Amino acid sequence: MTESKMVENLLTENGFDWAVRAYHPSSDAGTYYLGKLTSLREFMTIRGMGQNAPTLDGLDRLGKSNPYKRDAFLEALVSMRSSEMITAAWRMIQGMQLQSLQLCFENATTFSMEVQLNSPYDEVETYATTDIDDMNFVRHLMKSKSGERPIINGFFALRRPKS
Amino acid sequence: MISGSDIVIPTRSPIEIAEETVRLIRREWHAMVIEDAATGAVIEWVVPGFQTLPNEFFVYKNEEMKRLWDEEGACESNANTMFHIIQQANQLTIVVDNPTVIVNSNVIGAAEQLARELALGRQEFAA
Repeated sequence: MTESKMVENLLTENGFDWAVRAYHPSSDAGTYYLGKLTSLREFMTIRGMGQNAPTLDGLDRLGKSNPYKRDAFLEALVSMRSSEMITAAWRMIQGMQLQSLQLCFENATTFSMEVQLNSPYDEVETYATTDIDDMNFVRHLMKSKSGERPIINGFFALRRPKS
Repeated sequence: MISGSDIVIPTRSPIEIAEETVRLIRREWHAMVIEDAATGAVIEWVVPGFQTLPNEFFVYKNEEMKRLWDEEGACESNANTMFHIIQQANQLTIVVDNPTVIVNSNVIGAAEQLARELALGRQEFAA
């Protein structure tokens, strides 16, 4: 089986067949999303974290142990544009904490978003975009308060869990 | 736990709320120690990475408090230094000594709110 077909199967077998149908022509959807995965891996390699990039085998294992996290990544892959922001989503799914988020928008003129992620060991990663299609990132963030302290807990899948 | 207060959080994804609860605890207790309730094994909290938490586990404030709990059980000197977390179908239970103590109320309040946020974001209330 080709890698493109494996990517297409990963999507269709996990409820993302709409993402395959939405791509035109849908027969090329597997190739397109494989390209996004490849670009993601290349971006992470340049950043020195290629060993943490998602792989098809890794996503399959993740789906067995924590399908919510797999779904969160697939939702990022199909709905966000830049490798940089999909990486930010993936790193949050891996447990990096959102330390800060800066978002700037001026109607029909400019958009920019920058996020800073921290690990418990004080490692810092910064990701940025000027493509408003990446703003889907924000939809997946869930919030709470610890006392009165505002917290963004992480990047979550939005799809309703199966009953 | 024989004593303590049980806080039950309804959620269709207890695995996610359990993991986020551990993160919330870590914000309060950087030296936390996680123990599998069934086996007694200490669980290393790996970030970044993926791991599966057991259905039932304890989170101690630090190694010293774990030692005290192991040796003395619940006592005055280790009060409010441990969270007991239980994942069940459609709910997460958090057991603490006194839920009004700040560290406990911070963690429980945030976990409850996150469970509601997830349900709202996933439209679990929709028909």
